[in-house]
Amino acid sequence: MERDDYQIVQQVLKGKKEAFAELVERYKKQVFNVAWRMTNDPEVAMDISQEAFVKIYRSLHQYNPKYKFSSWLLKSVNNLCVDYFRSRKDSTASLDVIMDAGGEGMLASSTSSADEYEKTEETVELRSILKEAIDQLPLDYKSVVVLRHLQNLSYNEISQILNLPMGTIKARIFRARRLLKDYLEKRVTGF
Amino acid sequence: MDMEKFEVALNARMDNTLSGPEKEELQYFLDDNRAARNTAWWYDRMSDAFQNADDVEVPNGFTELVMGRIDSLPVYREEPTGLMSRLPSWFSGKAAASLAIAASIAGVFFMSQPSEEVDPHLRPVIHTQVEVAQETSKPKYLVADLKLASLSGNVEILRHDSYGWEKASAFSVVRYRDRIRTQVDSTVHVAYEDGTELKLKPGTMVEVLENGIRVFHGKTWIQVVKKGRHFEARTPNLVASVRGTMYDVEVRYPSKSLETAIADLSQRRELLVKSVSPEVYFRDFSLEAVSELAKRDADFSVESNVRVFESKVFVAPADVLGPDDSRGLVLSEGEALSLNAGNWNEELKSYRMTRADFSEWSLEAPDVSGSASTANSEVTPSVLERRAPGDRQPDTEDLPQSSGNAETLPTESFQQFGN
Repeated sequence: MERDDYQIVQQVLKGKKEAFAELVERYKKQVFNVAWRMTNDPEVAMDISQEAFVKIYRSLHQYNPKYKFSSWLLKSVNNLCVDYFRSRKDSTASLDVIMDAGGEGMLASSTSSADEYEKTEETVELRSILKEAIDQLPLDYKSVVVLRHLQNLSYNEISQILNLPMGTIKARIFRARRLLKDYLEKRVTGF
Repeated sequence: MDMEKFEVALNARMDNTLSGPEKEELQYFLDDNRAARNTAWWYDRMSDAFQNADDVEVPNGFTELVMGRIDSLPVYREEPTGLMSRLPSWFSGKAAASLAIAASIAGVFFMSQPSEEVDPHLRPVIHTQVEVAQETSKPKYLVADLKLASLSGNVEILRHDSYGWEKASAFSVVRYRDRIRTQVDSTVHVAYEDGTELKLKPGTMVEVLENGIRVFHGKTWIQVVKKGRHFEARTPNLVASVRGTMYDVEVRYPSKSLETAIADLSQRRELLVKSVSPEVYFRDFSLEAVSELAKRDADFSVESNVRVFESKVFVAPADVLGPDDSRGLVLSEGEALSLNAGNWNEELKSYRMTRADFSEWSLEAPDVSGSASTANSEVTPSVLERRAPGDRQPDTEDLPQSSGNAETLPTESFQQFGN
């Protein structure tokens, strides 16, 4: 029977350092994927993922079993990603421009090409455009999209990870989706 | 239903939180509104694309890499409740000696990294004993024997194992390899346990080393206690080593700032900056790093200045080969030295060293309180005195010591700083 995370944490705190490897194995994919989606750079994602586990080990005695271990871990990943983007000057997102342009006008003007778009082409191409769009999202929106849609986390978990009220999370996801939809539409139809 | 409400409903549909009546209402709206159908179509495509997104595989060896890093960190331990914990504090003798030896061996593992983040209750008891028994062999990254006092303005610390700066306070614990920086209009007074003091002027960044500091940029006043530590102030291109003296060290980048030069390079992606800020990339900043910058940036050069206010300071270029005694010289009280490094004549490691006397140095009190500087030095460059190789070692043991009580600060403003 698989031990739960807290049991492993307790083992590590009792001096069994090697037990931590089980937590690394258990969550490395999720951690790496979040870091990779956030940074869109596998090398950076690798560094951030490692750093996240090391940081968690260092503060393991502060772990509160009231929260999921994975949420705590992803919080660390998110903080490291934020630090990474802060250290870069080119982190300004171009999708801000679309946001500023407003959604309503765009919605009204884009009634044309949806029907002509061939379903057979869409899966691969849309996936790649969506990836491109996520990469250009402002950081605040990118975090919520990655956690909600690529990690399938609940609003409540995202709220815990980002340490933000649920209302803020909902608003960010709403706006992020609108930005992504506008971007997809613009890229595919040219309007 | 208007378009705004409609979009809210679409979001709820993506989250599977629409009730039955809400679904019906949404469907009516879609049936009547072509623009809404179009919008919904795109939301659906987006939803499909999310669901089809593949996970990325983690590179092989990831767990081993993480565990390799964790191996160098302290092990958590429960506080023992047995015999050892009940031993009286005066306990000594063979058992204690044996424990100390065992502790010495264990210390290799327990003390290789900082440990204050570990809850005291979970710290290995043996760890405490190691700290006492192993006093002479300080490992890296221990808590430094200094305190931050008289902070003014915005003073920050960059932990050696961290990516971001944190705000410093008088209670901040500083470790070796941590960096301290002062922002504009900010200063900090650093007091070592042996009485050695540093004063960082605005716009200064230093790294705390076990035997001194590394000055990245800005100006630092240094007062080292006589008979105290061997203290070195390292800059990218020189090492000033002293015992029992007072001097200052300044690092300038005449053409452009260090941050600008590094940022320019990282912007052009000519520099490998992986997941860390450029300045963290240059964690082990040296003339080698300056050379790397200068290779790519014709404008880049660094200038280090040392001024001696009391006793003597041995100054030597700090190039990639380490301090070269044949190129070092002893600066006496009232003397200043300027050392430049850049890419002149395509000779990246070349340097220019000039020595100058400065008059009225006593007026050059450390202007750490933010008041206007009273600097009034008249610099008279003179030819560098070169010493023959082997004439002396780059050590301060044999430097003439200043007379008088070095614990007494010679300038009034210096004394007043911490008050």
